[in-house]
Amino acid sequence: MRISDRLRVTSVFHDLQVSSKEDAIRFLAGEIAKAEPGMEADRILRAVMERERIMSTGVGKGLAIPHGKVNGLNDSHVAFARLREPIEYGSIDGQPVNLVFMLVGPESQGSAHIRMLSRISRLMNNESFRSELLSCTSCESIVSRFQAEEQLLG
Amino acid sequence: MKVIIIGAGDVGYDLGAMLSEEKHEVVILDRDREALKKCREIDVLTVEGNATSAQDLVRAGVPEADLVVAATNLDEVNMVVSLLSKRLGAPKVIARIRNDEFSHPSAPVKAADMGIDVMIHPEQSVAREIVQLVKRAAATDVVSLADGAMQIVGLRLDKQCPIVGKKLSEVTTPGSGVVFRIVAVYRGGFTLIPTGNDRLQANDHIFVVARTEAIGEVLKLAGRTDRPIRNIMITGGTTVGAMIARLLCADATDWKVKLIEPDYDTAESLASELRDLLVLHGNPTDPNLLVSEGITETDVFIAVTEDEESNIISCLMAKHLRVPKAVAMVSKSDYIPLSQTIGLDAAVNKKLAASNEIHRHVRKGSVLAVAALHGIKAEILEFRAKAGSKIVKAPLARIDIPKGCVVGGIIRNGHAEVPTGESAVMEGDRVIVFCLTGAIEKITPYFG
Repeated sequence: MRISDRLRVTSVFHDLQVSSKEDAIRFLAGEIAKAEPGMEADRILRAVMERERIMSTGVGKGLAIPHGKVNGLNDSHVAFARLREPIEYGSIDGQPVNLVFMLVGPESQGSAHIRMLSRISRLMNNESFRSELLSCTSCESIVSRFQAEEQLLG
Repeated sequence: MKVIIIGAGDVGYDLGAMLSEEKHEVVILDRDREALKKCREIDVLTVEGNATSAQDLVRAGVPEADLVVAATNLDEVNMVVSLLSKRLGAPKVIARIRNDEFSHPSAPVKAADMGIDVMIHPEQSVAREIVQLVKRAAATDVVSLADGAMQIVGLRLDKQCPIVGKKLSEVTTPGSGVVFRIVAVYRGGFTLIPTGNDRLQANDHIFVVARTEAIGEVLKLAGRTDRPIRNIMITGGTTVGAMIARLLCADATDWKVKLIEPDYDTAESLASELRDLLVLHGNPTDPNLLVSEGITETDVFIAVTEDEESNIISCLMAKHLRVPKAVAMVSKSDYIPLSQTIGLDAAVNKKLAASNEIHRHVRKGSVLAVAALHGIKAEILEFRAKAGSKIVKAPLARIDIPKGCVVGGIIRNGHAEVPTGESAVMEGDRVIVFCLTGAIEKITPYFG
């Protein structure tokens, strides 16, 4: 259930340039779709955007956790991006977002999904960890920061 | 034990799964074939039939059952099931009844008149639990024991906490005048029942038992105080949300309670029922509304909408906005470890509350009550000590209590005490024991 085990160098982006919330989600949905043969990126995008419509996942302090359950997905996937330019996200504190952590999972695995969502939330709730992520200069260093941080969680 | 569960809904399913895992013989009756199909994933027998048909109840085995649980979604059906089951000879009937009319002392018709031995009300249990959490703002969990005379509270220890790094025996020195016991520690994904030599670490989630009036002192020792609460925000005028509002408004304190409900009629009827409650008709998942309604000045944020994901996300938002206490309602039993993993103050589980209540009636023998703690693999058991049993033979320090168990309370003639090694259990005492789930079978024989 470790988040960092699911985080690959190929699903981490340390300097992503996007201009809007939907752009960011579309990009990450496309990258996640590559990991599942036959999965349309559009389907992931729709599920995640639907969740955003119910409630913006801009939880404050520059962080967003877009997520969704996608019919037809076989496994849970995560992707992380640090944005070059912060984007407007409709966050609760009105602040633009520069860290985006996306989680998608199969429709049928509701409780695993919630558990991962909560683990991500807990990881990202640490202010010093967030600022470390912001100073990472490569995808590799981001992945290893995640691994080290999750080690502390137990 | 043979248990017949009527109704294959969420409560029925979860209870069935739990009981069959404990090797009880479980039959689930429902008329919905699809719901029954899902039950075949767990090790239970399923019977397709009508809950209000005596014939179908006989077919499900009610006359031979040790316990019947009426857990359909309808009060009326559960009442009929209870009446019929008692007539068919079921010794014990538990029914899920939402209408609280029958529990009033002056009720013209009592639960027992309908053959119901125990009424359970999951939403009410959850609402009560959340209100307890509001009152005990420094704690992550609160469970009342011994009819309220004792409480167990959960606390998360941060680095600055004065007891971090100390041995348990140093923390609980009898000289301090505050009598309490740390009965369980959740650390790095594991639950341990600590001994006096164990040291507390930062990030530990500890569970402490004490007499209710001493809990405030215990919190102080741990560097936590119950901060004064003024503003409370509730999202969702659901059954649970409305009950919480009722309980909070009935309390004679000057809390300002605000409730946000998307449905106009529900909002209006709550507003006219509870004059001390400020009801807002609006979308509780709209961050802008939460901000404009003052989430940043809120002391306690309670998310109890029907949408679990939104409950979690909005609590996270509240946490990021430094709301001191955020409570989310979730209802899937798998979500239990949530309060630990999410760093929320508390996630209260609707179905666990129901199963806890039912569960205590399933265990036989000297066990009086059972409660599970959210997210940790330990249970709270209440025993009655029988004459001549192993537990009454000597002071506790001289009894070889099984590993993974600790005695946390002794109740004698209505008076509760946290025991020390010198305390001795006497015949007839009610004894509260905390133990890892695997150690339950080992401790039970000690009580006769």
